[in-house]
Amino acid sequence: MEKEFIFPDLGEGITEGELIKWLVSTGDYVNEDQEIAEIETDKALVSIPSAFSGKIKKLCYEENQTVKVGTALLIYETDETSQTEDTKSDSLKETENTQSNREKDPIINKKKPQTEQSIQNTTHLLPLATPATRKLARELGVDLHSIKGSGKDGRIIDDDIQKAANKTEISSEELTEGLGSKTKPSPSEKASPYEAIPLKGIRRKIAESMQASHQEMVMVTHMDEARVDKLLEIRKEKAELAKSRGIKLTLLPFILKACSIALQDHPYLNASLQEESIFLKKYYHFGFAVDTDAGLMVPVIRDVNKKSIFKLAKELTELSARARERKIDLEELQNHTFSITNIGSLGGIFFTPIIHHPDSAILGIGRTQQKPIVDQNKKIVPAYMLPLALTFDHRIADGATAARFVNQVISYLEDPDLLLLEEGEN
Amino acid sequence: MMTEKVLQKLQVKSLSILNEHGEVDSSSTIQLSEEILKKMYAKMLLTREFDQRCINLQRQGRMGTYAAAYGQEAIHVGSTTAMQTQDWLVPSFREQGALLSRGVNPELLFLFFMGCEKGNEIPKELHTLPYCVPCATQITHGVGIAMAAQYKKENLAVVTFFGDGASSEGDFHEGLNFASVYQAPCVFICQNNQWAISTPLKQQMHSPTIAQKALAYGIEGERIDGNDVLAVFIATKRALKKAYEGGGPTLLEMLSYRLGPHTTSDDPSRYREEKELHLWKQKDPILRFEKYLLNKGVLSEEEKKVFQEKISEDLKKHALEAEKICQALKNQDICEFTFKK
Ligand SMILES: Cc1ncc(C[n+]2csc(CCOP(=O)(O)OP(=O)(O)O)c2C)c(N)n1
Ligand SMILES: [Mg+2]
Repeated sequence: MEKEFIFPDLGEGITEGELIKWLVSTGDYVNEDQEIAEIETDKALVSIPSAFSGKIKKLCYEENQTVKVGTALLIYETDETSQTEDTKSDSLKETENTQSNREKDPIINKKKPQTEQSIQNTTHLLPLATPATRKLARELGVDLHSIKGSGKDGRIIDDDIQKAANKTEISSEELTEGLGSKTKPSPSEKASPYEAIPLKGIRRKIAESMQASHQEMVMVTHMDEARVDKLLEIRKEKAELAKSRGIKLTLLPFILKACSIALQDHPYLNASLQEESIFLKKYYHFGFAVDTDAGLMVPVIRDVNKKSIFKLAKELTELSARARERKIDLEELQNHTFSITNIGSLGGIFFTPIIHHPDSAILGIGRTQQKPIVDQNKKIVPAYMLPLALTFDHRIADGATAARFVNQVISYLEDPDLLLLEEGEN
Repeated sequence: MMTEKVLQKLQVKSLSILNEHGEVDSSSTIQLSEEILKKMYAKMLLTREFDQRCINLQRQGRMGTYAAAYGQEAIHVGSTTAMQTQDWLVPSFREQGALLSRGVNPELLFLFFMGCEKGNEIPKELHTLPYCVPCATQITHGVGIAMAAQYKKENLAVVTFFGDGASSEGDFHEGLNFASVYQAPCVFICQNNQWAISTPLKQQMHSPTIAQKALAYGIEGERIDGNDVLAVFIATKRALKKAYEGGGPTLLEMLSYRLGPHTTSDDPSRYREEKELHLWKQKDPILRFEKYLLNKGVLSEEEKKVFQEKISEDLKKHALEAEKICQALKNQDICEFTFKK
C-alpha cells in the first residue's frame, strides 16, 4: 500500500528546508529509522530517519530544492496490503486497542472512571480552542459551537471569535454607545471617590487597535515642516469657486493628494506586515482621524490617488459629518492602507501619532503657524509653516525611506503646481 | 598599625574513581553488588536509546522539541541509584535518565514530549516532579520541598537537577542561601555540561569551578567527574547521608559534556569545535563503565547485545502506545491536568 512521508517541522516553527542530499533512491527498500535524506533548515542541518519500512516509489523533491513543511517528501510502497477497507478496520482496531489497553495499562488506569468519562465527553463536545480563546469567547458572548475555526486542524482562534462577535453586535449599537454611556450610580449608593466606566463600544475598539499597533510595531516618528504660503494662496483664490460647489476647501485634501502621489514612489509606507511577508498595496485608501463625542473614529477615503482635490474635499466633509453623527457603516472604517491625523485645528505642533493597525505609516499634521524663517537671500521673513510628523513601522521601512517620502510630500505642498504635473493614473 | 589575618581558608575537593579506560582507582573502597552495577548499566543504555528514539520521532514529525541527555547519563543514573524511595527528585528538562531510573514509565515521558499533558502525571509514590523548563527555578522548588519535609519532620532529602547556565541565575543564589540558612536537606546537582545552548562556560562565569560557589553560602561544594557513574553514586550517597542526619545541603558540580545539540532545534556545529567534541567522546560515560564491567566479568558481550535489543524493542512499543494515547486524548483540555477538581 502507498504511504507518504510528510516533511515535518524540524525546528520550532520552521516552514521549509533545503534538501541537501538524498541518501536513498527510487526503488530502494528502506527500513524504519534508516536515514533517507539530509535537510538544512534555518536552525540546523539534520538527517531524516524513515518513519516506516518499504520500497521507495517516488522521491518528490530534487536535491537543492526547497521542501515545504507539510508536503510529501517521498512516497513508499509499504509491505502492508490493500487499501481503504483495511485502513478502516485498522483504525477501528486501533481505537479498540487503545480502549482495552487503557483498562489494562497501569498508567491509564490510575485515572478515576469519572474523569476518564469526562475526557471522552470533552473530546466529543468541545471544539478545538485554547483556554485564552475560550475566555475571549465567553467575554464576547460567542458560542464556540456556532463558528468554524480557521486555525490549524480547524482550531478556533481569537480572530474567529472577534469576527463572530463583530457580526452579531457591531454597527448601529456598537457605534452609538461609547464614552457617553457611563454607569450611573443609583442615588441610594454612597458617593464613590471614583467612577467606573466600562470599556466598551468605540472606546474598546480604540483600545484594542492601539494596543495591537503598540505591541506589534516598532514605531519611529520623523518630523519636518513645509512652507505653505503658496498653498494658502491657492486655497484663498479658489475658496469662492469651491463654495459655489458646496465645498469647504481646507489644506487637508491637498495633503491627501500629495501623500497618495508620494506613496507610489515609496510603497513600503503603504504596506502591512503579515505572517512572514510584507504586502505592498497598489491601492491608496486613506483613513483620516475624526474626533467624535464617542471618541476617535477613522473613516476611510478610497482610491485617493484617483480623485480630484475637490472630490477629496467633499468626501472629507461628508464622511466626517457622518462619523460625528455615527451614521457610518462598518465597511467605511475598514480596509485602509495609510492614515492621516490632523491635530492642527485644536493646536499642537509636533506629536507622535500611532499607526492605524495594520498599516505601516501614518502622517500627523500640526497647526500651521506663521514663523520667522531665513529665506534664500538670507533675509528673515515671515512664512506659514505646516508641521508634519510621519510615524512609520521600522520593521517594514527605514528612516531614509521616511525622510525621502516626507521630502517629496513637502515639495508638493510647497509647490502645488507639481501636483498637477504628477497627477494621473499610476 | 594595620592588622590583617586570614579568617578562613576554603577548599574545593574533586572526586573521580573510574578513569576513561574503565580502570578503578585502587584506593577506592566502592562495594556495589553485581546486580546493582548491571542495573546501572542497563539504565544508562536505556537513557541513550530513549534519546535516540525521541530524536527519530521528532525528525519524523511525531514529537515536539526534545533535549537529549547524550553524554550525561552517568549523572542521572549514578545519583538516582543512590537515592531512596522517600527522597524527592526535582528535574529540569534534560533528565530523562533520572526519571527513567526512578521508575517513571517511558510511555509517560513519550507522552510529555508528544505534547500530551498526561505525560506530566507521574505516579505520586515515585516522589518525582515533572519536567520544568524555566532555568534555575527548580532550585527554589527543591529547597521548598526540603523545607516542608523538615517542617513535617519527614526523614528525606531532595535531589535537584540544573545546568551550569542555571548557576548564573538569581534563583540559584537565593535557593542556596535559603537552604543554607535553614540547613534544609538538599542535594544540588549542577550538571556542568560546559554549554548553555551556544554560550560556553567561560563566557558565563569567571570562577574556576561551580562547586566553589557553595562556599559563599557556608555549604560544602565538590566537583565530581560526571562521566564516572561510580563517583557520582558515591558523592550523592554521602551528600544524602549528611542531609538525613541534619548536616544540611551540598552542592555537587558534575563535570561532563553535552555531546549532542542543545535540543532538536539546535546545530552545535555552528558554534563549537569538532576537536573539543572528539576529545569528550573518548570520555563517554557509557563506554567507560562498559569497559569496567566487561573487564570485571560482570557483563558479557552477548548480554550487552541482548540488553540493547530488548531496550530498543520495548521503547518502540512504548512510543507506539504513547502515540495512540495521544491520539485518543487529542482534544483534551490542558487544564484537565492542571487544577485539582
Ligand atoms: C529562565 C529561563 N531563561 C531562559 C531559558 C531558555 N533556555 C532554555 S535552556 C537554556 C540554557 C540552559 O543551560 P544550562 O543551565 O547549562 O543547562 P543545559 O541546557 O546545558 O542542560 C536556556 C537559556 C529558560 N528555559 N528559562
Ligand atoms: Mg549546560
